[in-house]
Amino acid sequence: MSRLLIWTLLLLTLSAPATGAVLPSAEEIQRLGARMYREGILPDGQAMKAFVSNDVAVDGTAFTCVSCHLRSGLGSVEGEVVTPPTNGRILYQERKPYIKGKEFVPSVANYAKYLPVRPAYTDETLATLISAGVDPTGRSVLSVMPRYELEDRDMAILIAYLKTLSDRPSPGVGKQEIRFATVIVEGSDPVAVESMVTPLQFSVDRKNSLAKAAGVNERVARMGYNMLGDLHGYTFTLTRWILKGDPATWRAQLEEYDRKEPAFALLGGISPGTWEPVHRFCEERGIPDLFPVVDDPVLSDTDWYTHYLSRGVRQEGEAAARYLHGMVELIRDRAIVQVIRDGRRGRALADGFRTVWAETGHTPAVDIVLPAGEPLTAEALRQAVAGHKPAVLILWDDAGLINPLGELMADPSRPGMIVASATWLGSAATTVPEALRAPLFLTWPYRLPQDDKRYDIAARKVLAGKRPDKYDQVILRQSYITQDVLGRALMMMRGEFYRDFLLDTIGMMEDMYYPLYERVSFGPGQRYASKGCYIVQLGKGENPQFEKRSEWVIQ
Amino acid sequence: MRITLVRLLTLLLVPYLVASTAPAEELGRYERSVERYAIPDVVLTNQNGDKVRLKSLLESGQPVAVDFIYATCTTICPILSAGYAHLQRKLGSESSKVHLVSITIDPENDTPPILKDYLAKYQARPGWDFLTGSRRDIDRVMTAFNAYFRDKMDHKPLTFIRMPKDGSWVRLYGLMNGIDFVEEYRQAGNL
Amino acid sequence: MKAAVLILAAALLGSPGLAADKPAGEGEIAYIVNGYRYDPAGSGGDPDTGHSLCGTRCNAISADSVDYMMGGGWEMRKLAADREIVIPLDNPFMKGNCICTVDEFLARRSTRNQTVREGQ
Repeated sequence: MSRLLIWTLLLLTLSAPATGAVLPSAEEIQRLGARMYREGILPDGQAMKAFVSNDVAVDGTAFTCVSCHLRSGLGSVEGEVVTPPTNGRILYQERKPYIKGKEFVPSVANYAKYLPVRPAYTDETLATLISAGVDPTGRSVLSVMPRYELEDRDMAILIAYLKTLSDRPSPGVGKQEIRFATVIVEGSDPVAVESMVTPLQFSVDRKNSLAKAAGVNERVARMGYNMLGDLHGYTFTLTRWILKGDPATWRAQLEEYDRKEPAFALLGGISPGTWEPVHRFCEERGIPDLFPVVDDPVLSDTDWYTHYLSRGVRQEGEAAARYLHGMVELIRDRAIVQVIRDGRRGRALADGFRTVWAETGHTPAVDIVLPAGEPLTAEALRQAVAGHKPAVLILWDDAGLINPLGELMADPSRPGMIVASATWLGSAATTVPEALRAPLFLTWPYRLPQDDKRYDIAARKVLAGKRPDKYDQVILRQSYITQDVLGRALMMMRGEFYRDFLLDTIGMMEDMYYPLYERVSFGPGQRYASKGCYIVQLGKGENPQFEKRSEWVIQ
Repeated sequence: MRITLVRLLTLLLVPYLVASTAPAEELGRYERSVERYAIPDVVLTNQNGDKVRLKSLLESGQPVAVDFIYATCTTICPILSAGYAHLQRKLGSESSKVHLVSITIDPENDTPPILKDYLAKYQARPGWDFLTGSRRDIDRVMTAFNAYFRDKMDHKPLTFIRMPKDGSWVRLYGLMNGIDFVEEYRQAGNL
Repeated sequence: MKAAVLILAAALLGSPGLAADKPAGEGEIAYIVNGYRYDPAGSGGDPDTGHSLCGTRCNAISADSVDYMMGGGWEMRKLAADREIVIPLDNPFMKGNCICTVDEFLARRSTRNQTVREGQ
């Protein structure tokens, strides 16, 4: 039997109109449809059944709609495979041919405009596509699109759900304007705040100058169009949302700002303490929050809307655990002691180490907590060492650890290896005496300072001539990343300014080399951009440099 | 000028059109070649966090297949992994005789727990290992297989099957269907 | 955060500290590591563990050529291919050396064009 005949038979048997089924309420469609679309779970709780590459049966849970069409339904491009949009608004419109004579350079940013011509879908033809992989022209779509076995009612729910994807403009997006906001928690260091806001404002101002110039000069307009595509005519605004008082009251303040002047996305943001209420607010309201400047981000494998620069200070603890895992054979049964300065920072570092160390199945380290404010003494260290005879001593504390540790070095039973956080030691790291440098291994979650100098020119661009010494160098570079990622993502969005698509688009971006972090990487659903941390030692001499003892990412 | 632009557009568009309009008869078509590769002696980490020497792992004489994927990949990797899972299911209780190796091209994100979850999602049985490691080592492995991608978003569907008789590799480029993959595996002398 | 800022500030603002400015053309040696092996140097260290640790140790000295270029205004010139360099393992629990096979480069601020290209 010819393949054509098989497909025709399939068409006849599987293309029963899905419209006959009685649909549940709109809320139920959202809930049940999202579950099918994102998790591959049918309304009755079973996994959706699917076939890929013509014959391979897979559970829909391994091969969901969202894995290719993404959360927004606006499609993806990866390697050589292009996935077209699957939202109702686009499916139910005819796909017309490319318009002749329009100057337009095809690229990844606008690939979806060059998909083959087809008539508008109907509920019936869409059901045929989903169940048999045949589009309204009779063409079979690529075999990477699974064919799903769905009952009529389930099919109707899925189709109704597709119609709600990216179907109305996201709040904060006007005809020619996109509004952004940045959340500033009162009590943040003013220099830190300016360092966070300045690069964002630079980017907004630059975009607005271009839009203004394009409005009066056709050549600039054409250049803007070639560079930015559909984005070229838009202007941006950036509003500061200041949060005051008890974090328990932030929710109401955020809702009020959002009601008065909704923002398409929150950019940056800064808090001297928790970020959790802002994270929760964004999660519940579906508002993207790009790269807040916080030390202690909310960790989640499933939360969607807040994209962090890294996993915060805990990433240093995690790196220490991975580095030690590489030599665990040499430590054998000897103990590891973690001395932890009580407080947010010490706890996050220790928890990072503890979690990864447990994942690798090792005996937990012995934790010794130092009360906040109480100086570390050589005697306390001697006791810790005498009591547990550790192979490795981890000290999560500030530069106050250097002198007591120096005294411990004379002790013959001192541990072979000491681990500490270079970011917490700060510039005092360079004062570590030579005798201490051989056993001391430090965590450093940035590009090495001597190497990051190569990125000065790029980073200072966003200062527009202002003096760099007025700014916090880390935050300035972090915010540089925020504005650049945002700009690139908006250009790739081909005019589809939907909140979910912003995050989908960032997930499709290539790895980037930016100031500050050795490498920044993205990926569908990934929410911590910088994933690395070096283990370094101090070199010799009076002004020692860091020397790498690990790669950026330790696995 | 106009002609040049049209030509340029056509050149740029063709891959997209082909990719999205391949008729049913074209599906499952893939390129096949036989190659010799020098496997670098690098140490990678498997889904359990154990260090493995790749060269000894791949050249142990046991039947083995290799692909390059990553955990959050959208389109290509689920197909390749569905192929691996399909082969394991087909082999049933014999599946542990066949060694399937996936190597991540996103070591930044793919920690051993993430690799483990990925395998669980595909109901992988023993005999399917997912490896991560240092970026430099993984780059070296990709280069050795003539499969280097500068970025994970540029990657291509490639599967390699080692022929035990002489240690050469069958290189399969394309999105295969499950039957073809099992057949290639059999032909390589591994079943 | 604060403390880290001080280190970066020291380096970036040119105060004496972690790094000094390099004038254009002077350059530094960079390695791209192609392979590694462990030499116990008579210490009796376990070869498998040594090989694994030398992987980390050698890869740590490997530069990323894209990283060199992306800051802007830097160039890399190849000086030697597949050269073997010996470095101490630098592990408190195990003696021996690592032999890293490297391509050697001279990386420097470009002298061809004094108007340094702006960023990315």
